[in-house]
Amino acid sequence: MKKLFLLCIATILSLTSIAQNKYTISGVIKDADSQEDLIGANLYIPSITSGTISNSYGFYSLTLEEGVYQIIISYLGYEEQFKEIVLDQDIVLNIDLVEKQSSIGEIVITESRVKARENVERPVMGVMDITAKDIKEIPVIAGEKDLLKALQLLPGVQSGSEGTAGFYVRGGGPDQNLILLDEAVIYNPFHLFGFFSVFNVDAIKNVELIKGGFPSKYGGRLSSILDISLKDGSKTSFHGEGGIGSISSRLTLEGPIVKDKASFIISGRRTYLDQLILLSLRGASAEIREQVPQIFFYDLNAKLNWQVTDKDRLYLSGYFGQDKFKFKSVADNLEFSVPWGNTSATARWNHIFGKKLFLNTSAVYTNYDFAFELKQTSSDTAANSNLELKVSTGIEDWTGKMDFDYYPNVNHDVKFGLNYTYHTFTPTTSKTFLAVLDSTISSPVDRRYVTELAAYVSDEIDISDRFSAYVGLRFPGFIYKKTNYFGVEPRLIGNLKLNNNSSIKASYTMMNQYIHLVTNSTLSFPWDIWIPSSDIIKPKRSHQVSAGYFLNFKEDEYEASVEAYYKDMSNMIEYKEGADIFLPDTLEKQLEFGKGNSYGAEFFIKRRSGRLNGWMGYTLSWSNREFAGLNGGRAFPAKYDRRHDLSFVAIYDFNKMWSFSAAFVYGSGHSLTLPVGRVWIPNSDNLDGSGNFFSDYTDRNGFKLNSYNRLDLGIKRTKHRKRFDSIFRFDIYNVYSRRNPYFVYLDQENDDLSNVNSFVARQVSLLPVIPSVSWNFKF
Amino acid sequence: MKRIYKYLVILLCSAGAFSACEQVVDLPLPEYERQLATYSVLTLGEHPNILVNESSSYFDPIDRRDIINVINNASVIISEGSNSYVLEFDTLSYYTEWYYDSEQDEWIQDSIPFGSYTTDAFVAEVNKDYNLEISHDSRLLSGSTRIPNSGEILSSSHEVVDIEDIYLPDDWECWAIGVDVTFTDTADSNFYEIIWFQEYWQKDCGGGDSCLIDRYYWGTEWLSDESFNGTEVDYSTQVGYYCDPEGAPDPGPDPEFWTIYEMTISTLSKEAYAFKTSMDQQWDSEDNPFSEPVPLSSTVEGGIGLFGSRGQVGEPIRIKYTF
Repeated sequence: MKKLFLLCIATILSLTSIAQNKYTISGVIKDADSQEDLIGANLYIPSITSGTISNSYGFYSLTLEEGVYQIIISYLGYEEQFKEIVLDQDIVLNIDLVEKQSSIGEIVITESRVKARENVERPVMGVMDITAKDIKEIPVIAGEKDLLKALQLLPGVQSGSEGTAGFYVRGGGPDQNLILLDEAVIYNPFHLFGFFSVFNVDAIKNVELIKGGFPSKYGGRLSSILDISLKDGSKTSFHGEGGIGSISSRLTLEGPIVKDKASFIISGRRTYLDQLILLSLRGASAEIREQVPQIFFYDLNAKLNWQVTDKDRLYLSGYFGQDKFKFKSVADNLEFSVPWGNTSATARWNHIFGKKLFLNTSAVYTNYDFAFELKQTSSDTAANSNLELKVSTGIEDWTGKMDFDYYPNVNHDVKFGLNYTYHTFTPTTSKTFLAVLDSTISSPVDRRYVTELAAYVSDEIDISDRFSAYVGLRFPGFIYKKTNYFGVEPRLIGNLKLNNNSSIKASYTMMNQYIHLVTNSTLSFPWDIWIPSSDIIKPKRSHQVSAGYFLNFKEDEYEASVEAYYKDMSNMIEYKEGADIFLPDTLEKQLEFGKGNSYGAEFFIKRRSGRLNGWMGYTLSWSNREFAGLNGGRAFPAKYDRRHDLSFVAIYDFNKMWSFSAAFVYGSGHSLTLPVGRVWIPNSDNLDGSGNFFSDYTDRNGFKLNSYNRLDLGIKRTKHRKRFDSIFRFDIYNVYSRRNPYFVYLDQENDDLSNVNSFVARQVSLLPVIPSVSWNFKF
Repeated sequence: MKRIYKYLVILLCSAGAFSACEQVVDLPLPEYERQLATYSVLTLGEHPNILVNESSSYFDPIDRRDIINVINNASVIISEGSNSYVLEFDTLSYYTEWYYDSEQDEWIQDSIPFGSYTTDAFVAEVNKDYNLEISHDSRLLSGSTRIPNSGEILSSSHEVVDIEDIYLPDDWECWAIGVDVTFTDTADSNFYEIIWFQEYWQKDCGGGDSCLIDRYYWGTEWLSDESFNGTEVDYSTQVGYYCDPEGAPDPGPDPEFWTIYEMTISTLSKEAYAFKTSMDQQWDSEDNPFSEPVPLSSTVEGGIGLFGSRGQVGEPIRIKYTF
């Protein structure tokens, strides 16, 4: 394998020598106002129908034959620039793009046509980009703009339960999504038990979701990569942005530390749901107020960046977020508190070697902790009969990375790098303080120390005017005690242009996943446990093939695509039936291992320009699992199997001041295991007449809940002043108050007079129509 | 921990001050076809005793006076090799169940019809394969089982041990009987059931004779031998918790009352182990609306239920407890 990797590197480096009388144009593309790097900006040269895009740090490089070229530089939401260059020597050309006055100055929004052409030009599949602007325009719940809820409106991305931000991609589980925030893995991206995501939209610069056709740079999860970049902070002037919503407020400040050299951004959020609940109980007794559950969250993003030299740049960024749920029951003499949260820190150094080679070196720390703290006091005065219990679980990573971007010539875009992560897993530990013994009893700490590493190489090749390809290899490795897993993951994408407006693409990717989230629940809870692979728990593996037709029409105003995919997954994990998830020492013994598959087709159409813009996505999909020890060994639908998923988003700009947005979603009901029959079974083999009812269930997940549908509307009024924009939003979530199912449980009703008992199904629906007002500002 | 789920539902419903977050819904369930059901565990050295009843739709109203749905006119046949035995329905009896009537504020007694199929034509023999066929109303239920090997108790001991009860003041003292048993783990027997009963005895019930006042079921544990060494099973437990603020009473050499704990160890067929543990797990999981339900591991074809078997491991162990 080592030889294979070296061979790949050697082949790629040899590409340099092919070029004769060629020169390189390189530089960084930035926002003209804030000097923020622009990720994925396009440089397109019409005369050779080719170009490149800027990398994650705005860097680009193009090596061309000597000559005179017209270059078009464009980026989503920015004015296109046209430049003519005489290329008779290597040139450094840093480009500043000016943001369009789309939503505040002009009526018509026009996204870059060049950006739109990526749909048919590049060998990229299953990639969805959603801008911070899109997220801000979509109707929101309780005034909270939410990245993950916006992603749920894209085809191939399904929501979890009602109102929650959990997402499932192409039939994969929630742990199969790699979520990166400035390169740090976020293990639990949810606040408030999943109702909101941890990402503060005001601090986000760029979001990319990859569902298939994974670049070899990424690995470690089977189903998706969600790569989120934080803003760098303006290097030119001081700015602020914030908002006051129904349940939280937020504030973002950014500005230069040294003008044009160094900048900062800091962004924070805090909910006041707990205070609102208490406020609503002003007249209630102290005892009742004391017993009201309290829940709140806060998060903080901060980033510094420093342009050390023309070729060197440093970044420091961090995230800290915490949720806390507290409850006190006077009747039960107990008090419990459930805190959980993520912490991450990323330090990065960019260096440009010559004109063609870019290096990013990162050191990343990330930590996720969950705790359950219980305090029970005796009803009598004997203080020494008190009990205190703390159960905690978590995961901590230290990561080192080197990522190289190499641009040997205009037809190749090579990336290669190394990645090393040291994980510390704490599946479950508990400490019990018994006052009666005046001592603390601790469970054995089952910490697991794991090394995960990877090397990768890839090349995006323009083979001809009509055919381009992405070829990549990733070499992942995993070491835990005496257990080692190493592999080779091929990543292939081909793009054949049928004509100027359409292309067909196909891809094959293989992924391995070495860490796993085990849950015994039909919902995702913060106490779900992350565990590494071991000699018993094999790495999950997927093979995914996809093919699609991609079309732009009406002069690139519309882009459309149809993608079909099939994903085969092995070594999937589920708890055994009736497993006790609080017995960590026997965790492996409580798991079942099986396989799964998912397949389907995704239809997407997007209008990128005009007063009315937006998109519509539809997914038809199946997702199945098969475990020898579950459901009698028969295949069964995954719990997030959803046959139809439709979403529609429209944004209409009336004028400079007013805009209107609507989002409609429809999804088939989630899968559920329900009792359909009941049978009386005796308590003892002696058949003495005593016994109980037991349930006869459908096949696992054999029942579908009612379908989910919802319409949200929003209207926005923007008032521009010279240095201050004031934005009022009025949103209505679930306009027609559809009672969507959150979960269903069965309850027994007794009629003593008639001697008749009966069972009824009760559906819990959380969110009826919810109007909300929020005020946002920007200066 | 399960309590969290209750509070979580409270929280979720109160989070947005959403009124009426819960509603009764009609679920579009498929038509449920009532199925034949059985519960039959052949016990080594004993005559068969088989319950035949019927399942019903989960959402059908239940008449508490007929909850068991006993079928008394089924054809029940057990065969072993070339032998075939027809079982007869035993006399219909009535099981008494009490329930509280809140309207009348009193306890009401229900008499529920009950009965089983049996024969005295054979007793279950070790390592023999038995097949069951039950037919009723054009439905056929079948199953098979092999009577597992029996085992021996190699040693047993018990002693009074101090225990702590964190819910009681510290001047209280608590005890229990710690029991250690070692028994053979025979080659063909992989599953065990340990059942405890508690008996109350009185020294003199008149005429100087001691007598049994009452006998209660105490609990059951199931063991799989996968965690033992293949030749012996070491089993430890505690029974008979007792706490007193005055310290341990001295029962004297000849106490007036005493308690006996009786432990019976059985080998179980694989089917019986699977079904019984699934019953236990289903019972435990039903409190949690978020957990994956546990289906019964039915061991019969054409219906629901258990056809399994058991052997004995030694004689029941009886422990006299005089606190």
